[in-house]
Amino acid sequence: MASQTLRRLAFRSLLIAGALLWGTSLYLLAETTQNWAQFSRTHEAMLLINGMGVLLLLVLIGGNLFRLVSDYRQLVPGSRLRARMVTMFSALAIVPLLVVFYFAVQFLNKGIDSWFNVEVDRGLSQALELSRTALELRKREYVERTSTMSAALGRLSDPELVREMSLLRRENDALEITIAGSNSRIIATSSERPGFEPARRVGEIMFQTRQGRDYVRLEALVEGGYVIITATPLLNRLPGSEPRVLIVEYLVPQRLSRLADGVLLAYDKYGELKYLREPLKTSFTLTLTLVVFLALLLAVNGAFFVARVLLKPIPDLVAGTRAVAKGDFDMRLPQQPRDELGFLVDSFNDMTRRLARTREESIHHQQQVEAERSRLAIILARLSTGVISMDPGMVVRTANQAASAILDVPLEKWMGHALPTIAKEYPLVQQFVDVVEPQLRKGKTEWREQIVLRSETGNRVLIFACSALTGEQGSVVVVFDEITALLQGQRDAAWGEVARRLAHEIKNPLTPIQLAAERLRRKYLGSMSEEEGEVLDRSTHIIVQQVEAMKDMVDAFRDYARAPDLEIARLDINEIVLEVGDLYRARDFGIKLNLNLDREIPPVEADSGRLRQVLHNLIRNSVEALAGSEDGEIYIATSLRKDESYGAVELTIEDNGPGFDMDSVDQVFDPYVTSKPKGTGLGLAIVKKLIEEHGGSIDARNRENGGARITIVLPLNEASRNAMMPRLVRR
Amino acid sequence: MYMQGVRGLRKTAGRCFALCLLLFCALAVADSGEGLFEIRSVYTEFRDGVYYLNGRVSYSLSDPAREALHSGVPLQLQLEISLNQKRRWWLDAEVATLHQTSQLQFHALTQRYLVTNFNSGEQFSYYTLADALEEIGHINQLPLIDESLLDPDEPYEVSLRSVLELRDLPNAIRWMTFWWGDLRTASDWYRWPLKP
Repeated sequence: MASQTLRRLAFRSLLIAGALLWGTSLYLLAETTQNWAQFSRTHEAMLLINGMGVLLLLVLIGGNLFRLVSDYRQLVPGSRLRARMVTMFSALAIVPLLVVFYFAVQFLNKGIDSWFNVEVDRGLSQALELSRTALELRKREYVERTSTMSAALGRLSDPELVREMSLLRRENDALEITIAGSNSRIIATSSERPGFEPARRVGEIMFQTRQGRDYVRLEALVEGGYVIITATPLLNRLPGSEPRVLIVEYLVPQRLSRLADGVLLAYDKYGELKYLREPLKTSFTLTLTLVVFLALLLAVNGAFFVARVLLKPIPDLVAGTRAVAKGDFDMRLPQQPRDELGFLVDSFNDMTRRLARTREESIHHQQQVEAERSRLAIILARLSTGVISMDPGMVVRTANQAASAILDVPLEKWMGHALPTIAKEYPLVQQFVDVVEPQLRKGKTEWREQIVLRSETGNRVLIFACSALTGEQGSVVVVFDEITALLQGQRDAAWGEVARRLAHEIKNPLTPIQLAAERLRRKYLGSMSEEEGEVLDRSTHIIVQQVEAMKDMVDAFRDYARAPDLEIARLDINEIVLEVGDLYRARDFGIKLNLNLDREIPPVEADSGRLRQVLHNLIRNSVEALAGSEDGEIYIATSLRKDESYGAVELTIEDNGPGFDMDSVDQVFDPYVTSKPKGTGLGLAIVKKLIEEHGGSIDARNRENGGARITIVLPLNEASRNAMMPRLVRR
Repeated sequence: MYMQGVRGLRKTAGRCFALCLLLFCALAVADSGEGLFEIRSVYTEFRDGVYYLNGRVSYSLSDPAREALHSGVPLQLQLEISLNQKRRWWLDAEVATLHQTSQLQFHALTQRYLVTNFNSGEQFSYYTLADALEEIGHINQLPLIDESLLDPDEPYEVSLRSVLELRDLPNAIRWMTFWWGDLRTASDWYRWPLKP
């Protein structure tokens, strides 16, 4: 992040420095047209900088244009708006610039043209002509003087010449006097200037004077001022003598020279300007064109830049919106300047931040709900009470395992189905519906009721409690518990108490009755007549016999009511089954005994004596039920039942006899419930009691193809016994 | 519609490129001063331990230069002389350079051409331009280098060319000559060996 800021800062600094350098060079370039000498050395560099600037701008514009076209073709978000903005900004910049350029060029040309006019031109020419005329007069005057001097000097001999020349020079205000002979040879000279060398001018002068004409010319001096040079052949020369030329230089008066110089300077400057008029126009126009071209390029490039900067958040916003649509709430857009788009970006970031927070809270709440639901499901699963929640249409929303077990239907497979629909396949559920539906139809959501469900395994007593679910209109939760075992327990306890009292209250007087009867028999049998004695003997015999029977009955009651006193040991249940089975085989009841034993069953922690008693009772019941049957068969099977939380042995004893009476099948384990003409009616009650003392369960029902089936489930060990206890309590 | 726009853009860009190429070519061939200045003869003369240069250069002014001269713009004609030591395996070493500048000016008042030698400070006037240019074209006993500065075992080469120097021309003219080269006139380099 810091490096990015640093890079951006460096880029901006470079941009500013480049812009300053460029601006300066542009300014200097414009200045160059006015002051070449000052900027001549840097002119090429400035042109180079400006040229590079133009090139750079063209490259930038090309790159921007390429990117824009590419984005436009690829339908990149914001590219169309960017293209429109670039076009608009460029047009807004270019059109006024071109208009200004047009008028600037016009003003420039007209401005330069206005410097020149015919009057000034004519006036300067005439001033120059006037200067020439004034100097011409001087020239004529000096020619005459030279002619006069020529006449005076022509007669003199060479020795006299030097002295006379100096004299004449001073008299005539001449600067120099020179006499040259043929072949431009200097004969004599007189000058105010020391070191004067007249030889160079003589050639031109001799060429003209040789033709017999006077020579006069005006000449500018290097140091300023003018001289008039005149020449004429020396007159009055002796016949046959060498022709000579007199050359005289006169200094033009200073005032006249200064005036002439002034006129000449103005004339030259005006001429120069006149000559420069077109180049000036061209150069100014060129500079202006270059500046305008640069400005145009800058404007176009600026249009790209501004459009990019202004619309920078748009692609980000589009990408952000798409990300949010896909559920990515962690998307944050880069910060933008404090304008409307920046505000929009801030709002977007705020929105995604809130959405992310809300989602996190929602997930957290959902997790909490899930955890609560799991906890509730565990609690419900562990509950021995059945729980079913349903909506007003009796559609099952929730149900626990206990409900499935009580109603004998796998409710977990029927979630979302209406109970009446489920009831079509499960008769117990139909009975459940018959109870619940009328209540709900009446609009009653709070009620309690005890009902009896009838099944082939017997009647089940259930107690119902219905409550309305808060927050869900018309939805209810029905809690129901099977209290069959509870009622059975209460009955068992009552019968135990009865048995104990009977054993206690009845057995005590029996022995005196028996002893009294035997005493009566012994004392009076011998003294009575045969007929009376027979009556006494039969009566006392009946009394003793009935007392014995009553004692047996009381013993049976005692056994039923006695407190559990188990001797638990690890034993092989198959071995016990085989032992008991062999006893019955040996007695040959005419009944076939079939054993189907699972050899993989591990040792069971149980009381072997009680187990033998259980087996004896059950087999004896079956034998008694099959009495008189020609093809009676008894099936004894053992198997290992493995549940998730416990291990148990299942022992099944079946016969193909008449089975239980359907009306009393749920009461077969009650004392004094029997279908046999003989028996105390305590056999199955004692079996059930013994099995329950082992922590197991017992179930009696009829076989589908006739006969009775007793199913015993015995826990393998203490752990299994503890695990099975909640289920047993429920039954 | 969009494709047409792109195609139009490409066409415009192509035209701009062609225009730039044309302008570049025009600038490249714009030097019109070829052949106006010509070195007719030149030689070195050794006397009293000093090498002197003698020769003659033919000057002829282009129309723009002539027009500038008659408009009062002084022209400077410069002889660029360079003495280099020849080296076989490396670039030549510059031993001495010499510039001889003469200014040519038309004096409107006297109707004469003034020639000023910047080295000597002398000024002469001529009635005709040809005479003035003839005078400027004479190279007469121009001291080149002292013999003691040369290695007798090494070969040397003298290079000479004449140039219409633009340095002191008016700004606008220089600006124009930078682009169009109407006044840029120079002779070819003339080279000859010098063996001490």
